[in-house]
Amino acid sequence: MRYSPTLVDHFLNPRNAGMMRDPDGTGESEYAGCGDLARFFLRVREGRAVEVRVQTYGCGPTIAAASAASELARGRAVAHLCDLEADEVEAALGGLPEDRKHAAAVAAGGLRAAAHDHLSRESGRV
Amino acid sequence: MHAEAVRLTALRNRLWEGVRSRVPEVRLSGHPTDRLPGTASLLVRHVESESIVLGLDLKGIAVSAGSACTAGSVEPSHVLVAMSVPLDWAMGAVRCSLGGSTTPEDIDYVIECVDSVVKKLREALPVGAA
Repeated sequence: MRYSPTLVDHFLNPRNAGMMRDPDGTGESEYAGCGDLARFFLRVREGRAVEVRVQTYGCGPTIAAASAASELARGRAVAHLCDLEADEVEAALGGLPEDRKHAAAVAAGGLRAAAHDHLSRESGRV
Repeated sequence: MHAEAVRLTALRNRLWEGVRSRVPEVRLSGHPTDRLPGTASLLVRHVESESIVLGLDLKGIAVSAGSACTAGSVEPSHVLVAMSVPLDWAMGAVRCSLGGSTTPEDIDYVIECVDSVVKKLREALPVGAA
């Protein structure tokens, strides 16, 4: 099996899948090569992502990466999510084959976009 | 050989009729009758084919993504694109190949699994994606 047991688990049991009513931040990322997409929704309290939801279109690794990223994000400061790298998402999955590295990039990019969206909204309120 | 072709055609038709009756937004690519008896190329709208392949593989079912000519590629089949299949259908192309050992029970199991795998994948789709 070319995928780790952790990746397979996230694919079969994706965490935090779905939409969110009135999110405090929304963002998505797409991989142009195959159209894989991950869209994240954040609920933020006192600068932290207390709830995360994610919708995903794409290959199994992308679905798994989005799931893993949603778990990484919970409880984390939104400002830190702006710097989330694909390497961290890949590590949370137990690795990715070379031809599926884009899955971690899509997930990390989507979360960063959601974090930036929240901070933009906050700065607009000031 | 003719008897085997008849048997495979019946199984292939059983597969398609079963999937069509249970899975919304699925099509069969190619001519409905003038086709090889043992293959069925299913187009599942708005669901990426590799995720279907993986989901079925984990249930012990081996299928291929895309058309035969593009198996192993992450891009949509150039054949399906040339046939003017819209991208949101072409990206969900899954090819099923039946053989000498395929039984009606196998087909019924595949139908059940395609239904459950696609249903689960569609639950977390972004609205308006692909």
